[in-house]
Amino acid sequence: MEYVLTTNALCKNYQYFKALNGLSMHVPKGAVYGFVGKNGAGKTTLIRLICGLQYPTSGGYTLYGIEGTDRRINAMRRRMGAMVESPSVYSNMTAEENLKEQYRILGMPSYQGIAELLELVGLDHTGRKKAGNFSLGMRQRLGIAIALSGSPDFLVLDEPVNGLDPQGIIEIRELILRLNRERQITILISSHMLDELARLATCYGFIDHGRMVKEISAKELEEACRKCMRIQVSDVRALARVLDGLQMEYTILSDTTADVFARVKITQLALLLAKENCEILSVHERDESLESFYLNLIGESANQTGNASMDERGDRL
Amino acid sequence: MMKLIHANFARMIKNRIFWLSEAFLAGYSVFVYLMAARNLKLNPVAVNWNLYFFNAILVIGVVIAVFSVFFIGVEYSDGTIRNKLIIGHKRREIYLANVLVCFTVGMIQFLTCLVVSAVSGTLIIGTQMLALHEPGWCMLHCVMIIAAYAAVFCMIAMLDTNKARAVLEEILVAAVFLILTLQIYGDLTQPEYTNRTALTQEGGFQVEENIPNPKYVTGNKRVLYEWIDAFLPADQAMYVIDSEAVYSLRAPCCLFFETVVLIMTGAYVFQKKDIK
Repeated sequence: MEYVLTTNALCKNYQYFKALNGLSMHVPKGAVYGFVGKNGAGKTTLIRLICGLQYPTSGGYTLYGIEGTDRRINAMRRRMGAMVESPSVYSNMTAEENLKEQYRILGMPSYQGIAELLELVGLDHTGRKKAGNFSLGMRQRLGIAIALSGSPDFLVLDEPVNGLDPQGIIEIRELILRLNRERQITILISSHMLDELARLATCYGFIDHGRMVKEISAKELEEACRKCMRIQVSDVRALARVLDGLQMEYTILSDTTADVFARVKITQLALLLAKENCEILSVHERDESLESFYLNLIGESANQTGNASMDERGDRL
Repeated sequence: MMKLIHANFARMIKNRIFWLSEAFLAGYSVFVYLMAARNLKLNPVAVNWNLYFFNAILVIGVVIAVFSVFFIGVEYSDGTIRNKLIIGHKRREIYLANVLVCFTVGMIQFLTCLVVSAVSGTLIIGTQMLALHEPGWCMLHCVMIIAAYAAVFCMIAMLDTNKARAVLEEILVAAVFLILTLQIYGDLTQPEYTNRTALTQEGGFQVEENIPNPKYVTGNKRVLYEWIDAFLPADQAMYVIDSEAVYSLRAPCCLFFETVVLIMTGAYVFQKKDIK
């Protein structure tokens, strides 16, 4: 698989605080990568590093296969656009003036495309209104328009829907989807708004305490979060025979347990299993959302971190 | 780097502080010649025309300080410096482009003052105001003074991301320049010998000539003061407006060296800086 961005054991320390602690991640080309983590997990720090705003303490990253320490990295950065934390706009300029300034910084030969960009983000009617008087949503959209100047093929958005009203959230979501589908732009979005991410992302990276807890594709996540019945029986082989007969999709988890991915008529199943001399011990409906998946993941990670630190303390003692 | 310079100048042209200071300095230059005309009536002989023509060099440091802290500070407060870094501009180039724009603003404002002074001076006083002492040397000094101011104040504005704190730091640096200038220029311009007038027993006055001046700085202290003096832009500005100053290449060279060292140091520190 071709990756736009990879990081390898990336670390960033701020004095005694480890913001990133050996983070490794892979952003595939063409993906909408949802970067999920709670506040202070290290999302923005990673974005600052890959945007060249800060330097890693150790570890490294590659952008389009070029190492972050390579001289050619600045040329690679020309292919990316980013909005880090708050939108970076001159508050004493209009939306159009802001884009013109960014075009000059980029060294674009003309201002062609500014009108289209303003239209794309829905700011084409702002006229002479200064960005300082824009609402937060308008500033976010202007920030995205600036990030899109120079037609990047990798867009990094740090909490793009933070503080937006529901209408603004929908507009930004549609814009991101359109950019990904119509312009094939790879997008890295950091957010803790899981419902929003679930509607956009094709890949996820879950980060906690500066470490990557899990990277998973949307398809794998869907599999993991699929609605299913977890059935515990006395004989799982008998259950498999019955489910095969009913043409139902299932996964055997142990000698007694299986997940069934279909709507099961319990009475029918019980009668068929009884014919096979198999007893139903328990039936649970499982419906895991991205939110519960994340919470389970972070919970496990916290336990592991906790155990590791306990072990460490034990070793020291 | 040309892209950054182009973008900076486009922003400079629209900068309100730039135009306000331009208007202030133009008005100041006219005011200086109105004062000159008044003084000329009171004392028509031995007029120091450098004092009036190059007077703007005394305030140009303040103008550069104010402009740099707001022009560069807004890049941190609005976060727009990130836009330059994200798309791959080198930090060294960003730094140099900002120094260049601060220097250019200083030069434009100073030249505006000279043009307004020449026009208003000729209209108010006449062409006699153009009888300047060593105008070539003065111009060279002025250019180097402006470059040194741009390097100092740009460094502060670039290295402190907090605009309010940067303002305080620039005021502090300007105050230190002023205090050092008052001290060193005052001591160095003391005459070596003075005359003393004493009252005689007969009730008359007796003038004692060529008495060594105790405030005159000599030896190593004088050498040290002269070197410090050469590195202080505010101090050098005092020589520009002095019609009896003797110029040498030492001061412009020291100011040039100071400018280069400050730019290189600032660019190096900025290179290592974490930006939020």
